Amino acid sequence: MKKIWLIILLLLTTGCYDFKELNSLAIIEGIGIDYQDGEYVVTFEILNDKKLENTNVDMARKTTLVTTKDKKFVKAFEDAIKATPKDAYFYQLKLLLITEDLASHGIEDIADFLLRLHKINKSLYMVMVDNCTIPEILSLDIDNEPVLSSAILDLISKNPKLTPVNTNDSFDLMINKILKKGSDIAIPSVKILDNSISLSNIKLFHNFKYVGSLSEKETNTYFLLKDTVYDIYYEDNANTIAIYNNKVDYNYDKDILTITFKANASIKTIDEKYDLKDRNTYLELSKIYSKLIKDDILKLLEKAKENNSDFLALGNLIYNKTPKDYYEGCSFDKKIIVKVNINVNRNGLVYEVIK
Amino acid sequence: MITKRQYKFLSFILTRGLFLGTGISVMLNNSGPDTLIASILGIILGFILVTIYYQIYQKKDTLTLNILNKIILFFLIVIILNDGIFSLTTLISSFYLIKTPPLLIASFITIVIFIATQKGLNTLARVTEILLPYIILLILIKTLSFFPMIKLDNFFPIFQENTINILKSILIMAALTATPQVLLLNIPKEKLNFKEYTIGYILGSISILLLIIPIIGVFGFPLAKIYRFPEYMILKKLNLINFLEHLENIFSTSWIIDIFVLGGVCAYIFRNKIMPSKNSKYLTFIFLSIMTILAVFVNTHYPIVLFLYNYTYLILLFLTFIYLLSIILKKK
Repeated sequence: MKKIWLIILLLLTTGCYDFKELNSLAIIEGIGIDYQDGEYVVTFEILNDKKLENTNVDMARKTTLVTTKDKKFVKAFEDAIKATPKDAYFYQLKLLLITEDLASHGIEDIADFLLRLHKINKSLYMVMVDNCTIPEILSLDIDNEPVLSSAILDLISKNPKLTPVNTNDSFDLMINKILKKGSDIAIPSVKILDNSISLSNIKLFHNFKYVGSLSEKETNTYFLLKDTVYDIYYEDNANTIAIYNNKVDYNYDKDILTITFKANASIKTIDEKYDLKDRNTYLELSKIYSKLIKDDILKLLEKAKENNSDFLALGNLIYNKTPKDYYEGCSFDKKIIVKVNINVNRNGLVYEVIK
Repeated sequence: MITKRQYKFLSFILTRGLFLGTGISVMLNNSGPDTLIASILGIILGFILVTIYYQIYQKKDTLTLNILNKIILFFLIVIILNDGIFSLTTLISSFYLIKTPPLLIASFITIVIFIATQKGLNTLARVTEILLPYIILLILIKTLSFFPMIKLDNFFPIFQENTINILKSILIMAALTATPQVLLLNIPKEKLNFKEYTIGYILGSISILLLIIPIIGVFGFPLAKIYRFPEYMILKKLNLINFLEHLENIFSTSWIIDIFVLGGVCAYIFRNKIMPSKNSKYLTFIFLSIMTILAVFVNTHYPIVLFLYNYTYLILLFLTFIYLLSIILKKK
């Protein structure tokens, strides 16, 4: 009798009630959201599992796109799910592409919906597309890149000049940054260049809206302050150095914000007037680049103020340290002291300047 | 009679059992970034409660119950069991088996609890002993994986919340960790000294703290506050050796075990203490069936969920207090 109960229980409790075959799933790798003429345009990039047998077609495209639009985002999203040929499966979702139009309109609606939906993997990454539409970028035909969402993510996470995408940059943690007092976000963007995908400028937000973008130089400075970098190049006429082992310290005390930046640098190219065996060369270069980087940091802070975007979260620092000093935009009103100390201490493998 | 070691393990699990779904989320909504401080103070308050249980255990006969004891204990068991089954059913139907009817999920939970009751307390204690290393391993892996992701900024600023809200969180922590321990007064066990009696509670509370710290430290308070199950959502951030992802379902099995053990202890006390008779097997089955239906009913009526979400801790504290009073005033 016990064996019968055991067999019945084992048969009934294997969790097959919700079972789905893998080939009945439409695995969605990336979602794109645009906002045109008052309507949300939702695009899904779905893995294509169809085998092309007995054809001469070289099957480079392994994804299909589904695009729908509606005045309400939820309706557009649901229509896109209905338009997918199989059961939409979002647990492999890694990328959220948005356009400047949507970002200017505001992303709070999509944030609310995506965070609430249980079937979405919250660790997706948000990237903006620059100067093109989402279907255009997702339908590019690139050699060795059959899935464009993965290609975009690889571009961001494996680019040595760009801080690697880490868990602190995922969509839900980005929303947390927006919700925190005195903190805004800056997200990477991509564009089409020569029929391939390329990195574009960092896009700035204030609350849930897009407000501006950083130039390439400002982007480099931003990464110096944001995270540990490996070999960000700085040029000054004939000299080039690469920054590494950077460390930033932010402090707020008695109405003064202090940013202390320290880094090591190695020489990549150098003017022939310098003697690499002379200690003073390194001191002089350290002084030159310390000033250069300090000026760049001050310009970056000016840019933040212009766009009213506290992407360095200085306001949040003030709020955490002294809540009574905090108000919206307070970091732009406080006196900021920037201290930079670059230590040029490596010269590569060559000890002489090649003339 | 269970051994000292089995008692410590049961105590550890009972400390954690009620936290799923109702503990951390409520505390975050009340006390915000001060949740960590409130948790630590709540553990201290809970420890004082457990000390009171120990004094009662030493000086009073807690194994023989009169009618009043049984009535209060019955209500306590109903609240604890309903909370446990409801939380687990909601978790499973929200994240694992979305299309499976909640009644089916709740039924299988109670079937396992019923079978555990039939096997007796020693079997339940032995199963807890066997499963505990697995739970501890999951806790250790989780803790070590989350610590590099924690940002200290997310814990500040402190003492910005209303004192009343912080006090509420302290009471919630004390209620959810310490009140299930009162059930262990009613089970036969080897003689325990103070350290043996309280160690399970201390370690169980530390394991809850090891969950609260990464939730606030990784998510930050604004995001952690908006999630219904932040303790589950944080597991989605687990990424072992940059290779293994989507481990949340494996790591959340520890809560399933916690609630089964909690349910088993509640059902044991119902069968052997509240309704001890030759028909106790059938009465236990009926009781668990009613609890299943009640949990599913609560699941489908959100106003009741909100009421329990906000006031379970007060009900538990009140019932525990009057139960202890009834034991102390019980005539020999």
